[in-house]
Amino acid sequence: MNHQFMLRAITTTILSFATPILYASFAPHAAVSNDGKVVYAPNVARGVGGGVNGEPPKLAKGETLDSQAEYPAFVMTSTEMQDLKHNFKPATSGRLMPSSVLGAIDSRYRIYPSASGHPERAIGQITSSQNGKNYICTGWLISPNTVITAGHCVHTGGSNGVWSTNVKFFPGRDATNNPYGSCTAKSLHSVQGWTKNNDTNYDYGAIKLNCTIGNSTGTFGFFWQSASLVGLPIQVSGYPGDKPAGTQWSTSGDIDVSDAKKIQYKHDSFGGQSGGPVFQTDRVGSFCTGVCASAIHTNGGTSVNKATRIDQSVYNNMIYWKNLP
Amino acid sequence: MKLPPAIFILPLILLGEFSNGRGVNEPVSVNPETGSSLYSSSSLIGIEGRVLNKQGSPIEGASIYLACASTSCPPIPELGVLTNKNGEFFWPIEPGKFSISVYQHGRASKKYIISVQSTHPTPLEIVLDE
Repeated sequence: MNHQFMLRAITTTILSFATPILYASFAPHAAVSNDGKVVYAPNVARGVGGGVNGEPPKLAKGETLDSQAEYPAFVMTSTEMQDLKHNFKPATSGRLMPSSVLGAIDSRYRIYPSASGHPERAIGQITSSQNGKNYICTGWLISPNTVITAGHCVHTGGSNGVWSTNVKFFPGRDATNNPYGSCTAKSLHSVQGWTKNNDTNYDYGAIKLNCTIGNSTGTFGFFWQSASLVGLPIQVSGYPGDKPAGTQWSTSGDIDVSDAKKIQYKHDSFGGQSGGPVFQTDRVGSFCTGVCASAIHTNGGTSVNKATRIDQSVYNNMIYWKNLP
Repeated sequence: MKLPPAIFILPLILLGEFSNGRGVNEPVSVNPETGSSLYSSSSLIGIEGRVLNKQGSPIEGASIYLACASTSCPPIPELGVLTNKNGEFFWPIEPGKFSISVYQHGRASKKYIISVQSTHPTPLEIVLDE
């Protein structure tokens, strides 16, 4: 009798403590990886991480509660340095301006990453399999071994979903030319909002590579700000499936709609561009100068295309993934 | 005082095994190269298709493009869906009405209209003219 009473008392006590834990087991931005690990609130210290040429990010005055940035890292080859000395601008070379497709204006222009340099060579094509079927996506380096992409490029989404397999990343791919080779995936990462709920508001993820190719290609900076992004001039780049295989294309324009978790823009894009960076090449501001991304391309539409906005939670997870070994 | 074994087992049940029959923090080893994964998939919704040429041979490496074909569609991920060596592809998409076309060597096939079912993968076989 004493045992029964004690069991009931302990059960009641445990339930009262456990119930909030059970409810808390789902958090849309909780970082998950394909080894099953879940991290609910990555401990990301402000101002920690690699900045320009490895220096700590410079936090601007006022950058405390409503904005934050991680700086890009530029890598220049001796040839590019030589080119710069001769006033050559590698970032704009090798581009063909708009072409017309099937009578409609296609605003995409082809990028030749080898000629363009940074940041185009820090963007790469992702090939993968899901349930034995083949897929292509786009990703971009934020550290020597960290690629950011869409959640659906690493996991099919939802509680019945599967993680991608045979994942390879080809930075700066240009048709059959792979100037930096390819890297396989060491681990895959996304968040519960995508892997459990298939919610497009949480459609973002990362790939940790088995190489440190970002040391050769350079990396992207990225930032979040609570202020609207409407009117921000951006570039959207990726590897679309309707163009010659393995070629990189880009568009330029402004952000039209800036919601809390998604942004919208009228840039032409196509299947295969998911995961591509939405970025500025020459951002000038109080924080994150140069090549800075503000969103991750995810969806096509009939009138607008969409990207997952880098908000503070997305930013924190990106830092968390960046700092993983 | 000696407590019954159930007292020690109960907290483990409560704290560890309520999410899909698996503890949320339970590590599961997965190799991205070989394929096993955290979540099993037995009922994916989308278009399960195959692309063939006129001779009935599978076409590998074709790109399958999906667009909305009604007034309202679920979000379409801008995933690049390719056919494998057997000409097979799977387009993971929520139920709705879509137009689908095949891109090969930079050229598009004619469009096919398809309604994706909510209960099972929707089959589709496409035979290209060329």
